[in-house]
Amino acid sequence: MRSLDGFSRGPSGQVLLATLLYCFIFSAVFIGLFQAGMAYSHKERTRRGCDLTLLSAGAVYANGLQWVRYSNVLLMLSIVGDLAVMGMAIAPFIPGFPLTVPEALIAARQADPHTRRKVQLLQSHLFGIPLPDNRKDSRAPRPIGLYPLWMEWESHHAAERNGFRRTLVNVQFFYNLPSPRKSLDCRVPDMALRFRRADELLPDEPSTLYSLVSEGKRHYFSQDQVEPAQNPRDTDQMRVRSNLPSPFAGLWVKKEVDQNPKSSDPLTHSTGIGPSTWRLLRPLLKDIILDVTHREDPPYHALSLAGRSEGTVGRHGVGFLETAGVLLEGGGLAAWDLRSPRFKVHLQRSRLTPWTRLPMDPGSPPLIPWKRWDA
Amino acid sequence: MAEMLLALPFILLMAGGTIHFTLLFLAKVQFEHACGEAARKYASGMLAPEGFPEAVGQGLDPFKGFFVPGSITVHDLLQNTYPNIGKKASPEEALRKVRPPRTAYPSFSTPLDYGGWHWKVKAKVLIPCSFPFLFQEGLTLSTELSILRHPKGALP
Repeated sequence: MRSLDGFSRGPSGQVLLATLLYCFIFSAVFIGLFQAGMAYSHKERTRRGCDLTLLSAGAVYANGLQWVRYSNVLLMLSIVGDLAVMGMAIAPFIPGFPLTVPEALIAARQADPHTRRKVQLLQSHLFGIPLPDNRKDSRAPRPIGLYPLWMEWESHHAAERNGFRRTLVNVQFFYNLPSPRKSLDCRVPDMALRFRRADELLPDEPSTLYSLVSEGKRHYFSQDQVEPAQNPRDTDQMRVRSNLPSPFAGLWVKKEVDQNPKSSDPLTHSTGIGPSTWRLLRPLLKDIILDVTHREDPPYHALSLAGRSEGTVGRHGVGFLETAGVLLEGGGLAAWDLRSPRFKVHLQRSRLTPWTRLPMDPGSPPLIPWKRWDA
Repeated sequence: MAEMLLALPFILLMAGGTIHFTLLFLAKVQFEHACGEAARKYASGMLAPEGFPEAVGQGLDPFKGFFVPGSITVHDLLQNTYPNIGKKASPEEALRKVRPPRTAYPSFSTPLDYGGWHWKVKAKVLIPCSFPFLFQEGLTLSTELSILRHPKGALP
């Protein structure tokens, strides 16, 4: 022991101790560097996997939107077929027009094969679109379509091929976020579609804007945000609706000059039919269900992903969290848009903010079944 | 003095190892990143599948010098890539499926008009300051990635 003590006090011992200290420091640096390098590499793989999974899911989504165009072509053909059958039914009554109009209408109704309704039912089940039916409750849950389910299935497979494990737990897709719909609805596979009614093809009625200036700043209000001001000297005077949650509720407003002149509408311009005729036609066309179109206008098709990649760094299991989103941009979905360019998928960095701002139902399960967000 | 002479190379060796590790991990991350970038380009229709290895090589740029030239190899696993459910196809067959023949109505050529690849990419990295007697041909980096795109035949 004494000799070891003596050795460590000598120059050789001092050098040996210093070398051992360096070895220890370098070992710590090595281990830290190795773990940091592994973690960095794993994080990059997770980010890449997240992006590629979303791009793949977006490709399936875009393909589905192209299918919607095809189905709308089929619908238009069925409408033409139905009209042809009805036209043949009323043909015998044409010589007696206009006296035979009631009989012709009855004959047309009886001859109507309703092929279009079958195609619409097919679209409803295929793409998960609620079929408008005035007899049913409008708050009824929307159907889950076959194609959105296929989209989810394909997306999970893409995630698996990109290195995610246990994808049902670790990979969560969110459809069309941010959404006004509640909590878990955005987790249900959805293509943001709806059926269009015939009256939507008519030109929009010119909307009126109202405004007031408060402390030098002009504030605008739409027609449904104002009410008559009950002013006996000026019956046209309007005010901000008193039950509107606005600091200006009850204040008088001024009518703005119409920004949308009637003559600017191409349909009105080409047909020469004025807005008053459109107004008469609108209630008649409201009950006619046409083709499938975007749920929102301007169209909004988005897909987001929160993915967690499991791995080990050293002896510790870690989970890397990554979020991303894709936007799909393209033209319309109507039959006449068949030759339009396909929908393009654009990748975009996504933050957790849309998830945290989701309106939650009380007592609903958490949107993401992971214990920690700070991974 | 003799002890110092013995200890110094050892310390230098460790310092060299640290630098080697750092460069190795940076090269690995760049490799993963380059593969991802090439796949993103493919998804956007800017890249044909045949150009994938070259695009990976270009993406390695800051660390390109550390990779053995011509060592990038790409294998297509092509599992569960539609319309080949559960089948494996040769690269030629796969290419034929990715680039369908042009018709008057290409959009009607297949109902599922999306397709893609499941690639396994390998590259050899050779850090100059590493131990050449241990890794004479460099270290092999390997990664797997998969991508689908719509329409599957889209090319610039």
